[in-house]
Amino acid sequence: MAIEQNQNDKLPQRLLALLAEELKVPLELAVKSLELAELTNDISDLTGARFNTESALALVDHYALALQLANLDEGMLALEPLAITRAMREAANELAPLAKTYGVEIQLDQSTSNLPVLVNQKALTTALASAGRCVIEALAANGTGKQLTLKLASHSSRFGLVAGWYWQAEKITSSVLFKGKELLATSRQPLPTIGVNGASGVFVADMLLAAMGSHLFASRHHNWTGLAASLQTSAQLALV
Amino acid sequence: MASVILLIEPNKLFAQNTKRALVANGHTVNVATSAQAAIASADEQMPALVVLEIELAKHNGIEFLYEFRSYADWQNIPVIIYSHLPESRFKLMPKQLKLLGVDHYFDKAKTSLKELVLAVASELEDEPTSH
Repeated sequence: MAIEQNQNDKLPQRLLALLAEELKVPLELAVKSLELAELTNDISDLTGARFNTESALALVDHYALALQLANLDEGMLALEPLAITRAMREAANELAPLAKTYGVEIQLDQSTSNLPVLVNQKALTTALASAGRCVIEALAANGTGKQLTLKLASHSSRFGLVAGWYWQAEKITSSVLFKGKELLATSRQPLPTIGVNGASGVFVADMLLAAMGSHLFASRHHNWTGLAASLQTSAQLALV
Repeated sequence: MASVILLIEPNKLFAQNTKRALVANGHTVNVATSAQAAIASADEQMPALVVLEIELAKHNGIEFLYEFRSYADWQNIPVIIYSHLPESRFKLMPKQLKLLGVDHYFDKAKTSLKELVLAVASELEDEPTSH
């Protein structure tokens, strides 16, 4: 379902409020890790503090990029032909430490297509990482303690090449995503099915994709449910 | 014998930190990430105290409390809320929280682990020995 323009106009301000709340989590975690080291007189493991500070920085970075791209005039964003697998690999690599910490296995499914797509590489990689970060945390919060699997997959469709994150636990629909945007300013959990917190990563990803003329939507991939974006394939390169 | 504490916390890293602080003070901690898992955990091993994050996936902490308090065996177990959601922004009145048996409401951002551990110790000292 296409996301309406009037919602997009107010998105950055709404998102900032949500992000400010969500940012508290990794920062509080970093503080608590340091406090625990003090309490237990054990400073041998401060990786938690570093890891959480890095998570907070990633949240801010992703939002800053989304805001920067949203403020560009139409047509100013440099798009380039890119093998989708490259962006997928980069996003998966960025999220590997987070996934490991939360007990989530990331599987890359690049079997269907490796067509070049016309995107901004940094925006696409960041969008995939931003949404992925959110989904990993949500899966872990919903989990039963068993090993959880998250697929980063792409496939061809009549809308172009579809790439995104897929999982098996909680289903998400386009109407839930749409409602989530409406609830952005008023609810602390606009996407309760996939986010314990604000799920701001999903909305940041949507903003980044919007700058490239795309958006996030609920998608399916071999009976897996997920969030994906439809990307325009690069006809120029296909001719070559 | 160590007191069993049921820690309901959806964030794995937060749960690890809080658990370590409580274990260092001689408690046994069972962690549940969701309301459903918490009920199952309490059913398996009755806790002496519950530390609860309100913001959970699917069923929230208040839904958990209504369910939890509906069982006779669990009606007198002390509950400490330890949440990202500050009490000032919480829609439920203190009186209603009291009715649900909430003894303390701590904002994670403003409460150190030490304060939490002290509150847990204080609650467990006040408990009758049957727990």
